[in-house]
Formats: sequence, C-alpha cells, structure tokens
Amino acid sequence: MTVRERVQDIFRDVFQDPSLVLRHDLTNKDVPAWDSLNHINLVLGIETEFGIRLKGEEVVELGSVGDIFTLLARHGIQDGEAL
Amino acid sequence: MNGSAELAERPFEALTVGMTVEEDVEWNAAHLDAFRILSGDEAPIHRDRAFAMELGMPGPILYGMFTALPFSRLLGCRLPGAYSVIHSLRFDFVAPVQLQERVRYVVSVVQLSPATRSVVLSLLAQRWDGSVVIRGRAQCGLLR
Repeated sequence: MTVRERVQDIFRDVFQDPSLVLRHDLTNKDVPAWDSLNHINLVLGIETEFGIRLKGEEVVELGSVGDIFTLLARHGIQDGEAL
Repeated sequence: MNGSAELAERPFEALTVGMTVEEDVEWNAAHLDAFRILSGDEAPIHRDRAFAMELGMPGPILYGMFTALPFSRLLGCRLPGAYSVIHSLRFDFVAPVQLQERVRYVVSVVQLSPATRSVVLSLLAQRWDGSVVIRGRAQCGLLR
C-alpha cells in the first residue's frame, strides 16, 4: 500500500465514508465532520498507522490533506519507500 | 456494585501504556430495577423468562448498556481518572450476562498521544470462567 492509500484509509475510517477519495487540496473547511474531535482521531490514526509520535505544534499545523503529506515527509514517510 | 470512593488524580504525564485497573461486579435485581426505571427500557427479553427462553436465551438477560456501566466509573475515577473526559466509546456485546453472574471489568492503556493529550484504552469484561462478555475501546482526553 502506498502512503497515500494508507492516509486515505485513515480518513475513510475516521469519517466513516468507505468511498472517500483523498484530494491534496482538501481542507478542514471543506469537510464539515472535520471537527476538533475528528482532528484528534486523524492524529491518533496517523500516529498508529505510521508508528510516529507527533508534537503539539505539528498537530495544530494540520489543516489540509497536503499538510498531512508534508508532515509525513518531514518524518521520512513518503511514497516510494518500501512499505 | 462496588461504590468505591477511590479516585485517581493522575495527569497525562503520569500515564503509561500498559497501565491497568480492574474491578469485579456481581449484578443483582436491585441494580437491574434501577436501570429499568431510569432508562424506561421495558423490553421483555430482560424481564420475562419464558419470552427470553423462547428466543434461545438461558433466561432473562441483563441490558447490554447496563452491563457496560462500570466502565464509566473505572474511566472517570481510576484510569485515566479525574482529569479525563470521554471522547468516544465502542462496545461489542459478545455474550449475554444474567443476574447473579460475577463479571470482571478491565481497563488498560493501549495508546498515548501527547500532541493531543489523548489516551486510548482497551475495555474488557469477562465472566469468572474467562469468557468474554464485552470488549471495547475508549478514547479520552486529559484536561490536565
């Protein structure tokens, strides 16, 4: 599975939408259910799936799907690696 | 039910993965009546022996949500404790519980997220023979 697919699965699980397709420019303003609790759920999902521990300031920065991929890349996680 | 006043005032930083608390409860008719009155749930499977047995149960079964109640006390008073609020709960009611059965409730920390000050806990309720009656997951936020 690619990183993109794994992140997409986290979104599908958190937002309970098995047909959700990730767009890089999708923001928390576009998704009504992307509230403060689901933001925590996304962070927990990312930490679990990728085995990383985020910092408080990183969590605050995450306002879009693009931000998540940028953050993962900073942690050395991006497509092209062996998964 | 154990009305223990034990209260853990434990900040997020004091939590570690693997921490566990447990409590044993033996359900009786007074508990059941209290829940029936509060919930207004008069479903016959919980009160009518013949009805329950017709449906393949060994007798009247306890309300599922009723049997999960000790998790509220364990989460709020013991682990994570007084500084926590519940964000979400999920229960699977694996097997029915009957009156006079003793059930052991176990809560364990399985994940900590300092960035969100959140803790994920596994929930387990078992009969004395070890058979599982409830399994679940709680996610709590720590306010301190």
